Formats: sequence, C-alpha cells, structure tokens
Amino acid sequence: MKDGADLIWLKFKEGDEEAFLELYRMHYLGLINYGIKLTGDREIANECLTNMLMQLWDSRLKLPEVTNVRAYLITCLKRVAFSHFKSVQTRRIKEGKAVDLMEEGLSQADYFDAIQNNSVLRSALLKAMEVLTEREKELIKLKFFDDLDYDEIADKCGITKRTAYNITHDAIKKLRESLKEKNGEDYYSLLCIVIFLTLYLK
Amino acid sequence: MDHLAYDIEDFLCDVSFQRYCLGNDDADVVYWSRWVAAHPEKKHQLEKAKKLYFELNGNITDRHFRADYAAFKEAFSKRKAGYIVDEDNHEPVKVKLWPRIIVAASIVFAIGAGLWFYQTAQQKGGRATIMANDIKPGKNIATMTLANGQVINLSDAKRGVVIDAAQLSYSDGSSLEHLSEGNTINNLEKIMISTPRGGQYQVELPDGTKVWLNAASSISFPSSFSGLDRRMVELSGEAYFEVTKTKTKHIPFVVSSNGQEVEVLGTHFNINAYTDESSIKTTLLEGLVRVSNAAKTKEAKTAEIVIHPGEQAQFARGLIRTNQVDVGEVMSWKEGYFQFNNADIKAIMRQISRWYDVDVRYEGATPELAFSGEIQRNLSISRVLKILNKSGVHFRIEGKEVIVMP
Repeated sequence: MKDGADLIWLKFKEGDEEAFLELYRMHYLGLINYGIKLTGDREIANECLTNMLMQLWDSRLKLPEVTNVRAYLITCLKRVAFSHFKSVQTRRIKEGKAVDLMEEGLSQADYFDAIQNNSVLRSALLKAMEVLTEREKELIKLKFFDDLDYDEIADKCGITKRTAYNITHDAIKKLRESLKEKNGEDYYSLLCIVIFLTLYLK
Repeated sequence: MDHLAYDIEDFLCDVSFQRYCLGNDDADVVYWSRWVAAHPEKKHQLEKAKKLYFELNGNITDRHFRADYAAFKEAFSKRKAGYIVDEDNHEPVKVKLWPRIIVAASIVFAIGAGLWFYQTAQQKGGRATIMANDIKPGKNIATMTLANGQVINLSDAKRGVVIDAAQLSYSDGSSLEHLSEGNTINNLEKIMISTPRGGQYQVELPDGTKVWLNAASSISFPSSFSGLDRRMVELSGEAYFEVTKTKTKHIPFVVSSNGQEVEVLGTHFNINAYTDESSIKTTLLEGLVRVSNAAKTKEAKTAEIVIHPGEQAQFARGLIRTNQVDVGEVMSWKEGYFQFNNADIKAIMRQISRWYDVDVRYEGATPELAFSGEIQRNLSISRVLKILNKSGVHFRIEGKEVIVMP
C-alpha cells in the first residue's frame, strides 16, 4: 500500500465535494455490509452510514490525515452504530453480540449467515461452498463481502498480491463447478426448452 | 488482459468488473457496457458472472447502490445548505449563490409547511400531526388455511414457510408449532396461504417451487403433487414463481387466476392478477411459459400465447396481448422497491394502498402525474408521500385513509 495520507482523503478534507462522494462510492459495499452485520438491519445500517459520513463532513477540518481510509471509516461506522444501539435501544440485536462484533469484527460465519439470510435459494451456494478450503472461503469473503482490494487482502493474509488473486480465482472456479454439478444448469434449461417446444408443437 | 478470453471466474475476479456490477464507478460502468455491446456473444456469460457476484457480495445489488447513493447525495446537499463553515479555519469563503437560494427556498418551504401543518391541525381539533398519523410499511405476515378450516398465523419473524408432504416448517428450518398436536395434513388436502394488505411472504411448495407472495394475495395448492399429472395452483393478487423442474417425468406446473391459465415446466415468472388492475399481467424472466384462457372454448383457442424472457402477456376479457417490458420494474416489489415508469397517480396509489394497508380517496380533481423513479418499500408512508409530493401532488393522512389532492 502507498505511504502517506490518502489523496482523496486529503481532497475531502479540503472540502472537495466530489472527493467526498468518491469516498462514499469506493467504500459503500464494505461499509454497508459491515453495518448490516452490526445492526442486523439494512435500513439502520444505511442510516448509520449516512450519519457517519455527514459527521465526518462537518468535522473534516479537524480530522487526521489518514493513510488507511477504509479502516478509519470502519471504526467510525462502529462508533455511530454503537451510539445508535444506545440511543434507540434497538431490540434487533442482543447486547452481547453487538459487543463481540465491536471487538472482533466480522467472522466467516457472519458472512455465511448473510448469504443464507438473503434468500432460501442461497442454500445451494452455501452447499457448493463446502468444497472450498478454509483459506479459499476466507479470501472470497474478504474480496466480495468486505470488498477489500487484492493489495489489502495480500497485506492481511501475509501473501503476495498475485497469490491473493490466484487463490480467489481458483476458488470461484471450484465454486462454479460445484454449483454446476448440483444444478446441471445449462444443459437442463436447454433440455427444458426443447421438451416444451415439442409438447407445444404437438 | 484480453477480455475476450475471459471466463466467468476471470470476470468475477476483475476489480473493474466488480465495480461495473455494483455501479459505483462510472468509468467502469461505461467501459463494460460498451464492451458487452461490442461483444454480444459474451453477454450471457457476463450476466451470469454478475448474478454470482451479487450472491457472493451479500446480495447488495446495483439497485441498492443506486437508491442509497441518490439518498445520500440528497442528504448531503441538505446538509451543505444548512451548515455554516467553521470560520477560525482560514478557509477562503467562497460566495456561492445556490446555497443561498436553497436556504431561502427552505425558509419559504418551512413557513409554507408550518402554515399547512397549522391548518391541518386546526381542521382536526388541533392535535394531530403528520408524524402521529404515520403508517409503517408492510412486513412478513401471512395466514395458512387448512381444509378443515383451521387458520394458522405464520410468524412475522420468519420470511417464509416450507410445505413438504406431511411436514410444515419455516424456511430457516424451525417448525410450525401449531401443528404438533396430532393435527397432521392429509395427502392432497388443499392448503391456502394468504397475505393481508401490508403483508408479504415466501412459500416453498411440496415440489420445491418457490413462491413470493406480494401484499393482499393468496395461493392455494394441494399438500402434495405426487401422482398428479398437472401441478395446479390458484393465485389471486400478485406472486413471483421459481418453478422447479420435475425430475423423472415432465409434469407441467399450472397457475390459474381469474380465468387465465399459465403453464410452465420450470421457469421464473411473475403474475399480477389483482382484481383492481385492468388486466392480468404475466411477466417472464427465464424459460418459456404458455398463457391461455382457462375456458377452453373454440374462440378461446386463439387466446393462447407463448411468451419469452422479457415479455409480458396482458390478459383481459379472454384476450391476450404481449409487450416487451422493463423486467426490473415488474420485479421491483420482490427486491423491496416500488419502481415506477411514467406511472399515473392511480396506479401508484393502488400499490401504496396494498402495501401500507390504507384506503385512498381523491379530493378535488385527480392530479395529473407521470412519475418515474424508485422508492424503497421499507420506508414509512410519510416518507414515500413526501417523495411523491415533490412531483406536485398533495396528501393528507387521516387514520387509515390517504387523501390525494391536486
């Protein structure tokens, strides 16, 4: 990763509105996913995210010159979400779990929960994931759910950027093969259309 | 790298492609949109990669991003208008005209709104405010009716219910308590699942077919399809179906609603059969379906049509016609949005009435409106009405009634 403060961050501190929106766009996915796991609710997560960034905008002149913007934003979001729990006393999340999340961040189990919760259909994906090694699962989570870039993944896992890419790539390939075995997707839909047409033309 | 040689995993691992999927980088969006336009043979692969991307990222789609980003920008411009910069930081104070205009407009609006609230409050004995009258959005609720007349309330803490031969459970695997006292379901017994206004629910049928029920809708089906040569279900209201293909023999799945029959083998489609809409609309996302008049008379034979993905069949008084439609707009309810495309006020209010369980009354002339845009379904009604208000329509909430005014 580059040394010194992040350039977009510096521009934002100077009051550059476009840079501020850029921060939102760049970090949206990682932050919203983090927020959803923290609060258990999409809308609350989104509210916390917006509030957090608005507070940063108001106090931009006093903010430090940050190198790792993403980590900084995650910490800020944690704080805003936590104060949200306190003020609203939301019952969606048990106190204990909230504190755990504060301490440790998101686990892989949380990621699988997130996939599972979204739809009953996703269980096929979860089953397919069983073929992956722990390392592969971890990288898929870091890449797609936490939305880290390969540099950050490499840093975090103590591997090279190239290796980070390769492991992710192979994991997706394995995942797709495993999904295909379960569905036989292409072949099946083709067969289905053919059979339907035959029936229909009769 | 040469993108033409890309396989699905190559697309997925490409950071630029990921941003294109989520839509959070204009340059990437432009690049990949142009690229796929130039290479239509890769479109299918790209779509698949995109779908898998959203499944892996926790189901945060480009739609979510667009809506959240738009809301964020709006919140930001309001914040700027109302915020006074800290003077002891030697920032050159740029005098911009438009923040002042916004401030002036806000003041005018605030006074106007104040007067309006005051008047409304006066009319209603001086106590009511719009917030006190606010109505929460719909949620996951439904009831299940068995053949013996027993009505079971399905938990609002769960998203869906699974009906599997003799067994009933919620879609997360937990069991339905009400049936444990020896009250088992007989084979081929008819089951009905209904959502009230302001409710939605997911149902997994005995053959594994998944059904998403929109508000004020119901579906009936036998407790088992085994041994039947047609998988018949009846629908009223609106539902999205993901029909499972049968394994050995191909047993057609048939949805009948209000005189229309839709026959499929294994596809994804949406049927909107609300009786207050002018026609029954069947929209296909995947595969092929056949839409026909349920009355198999000679004349009705002509009223039979096969539709393809992206097409919609509109069935009214026994006649069917097809159109190309925006599938995103049709499916928006399932994704948690209202999406309107040049919709008039009555069409909009019909959806609001079902989702917020309110009645709608028009006072004075019906406002002319061609509204386009997306609104999240999890907002309270006042926030939705506020958005529509910007298009020049006025509303008043009285109890469970929304009054629309020009």
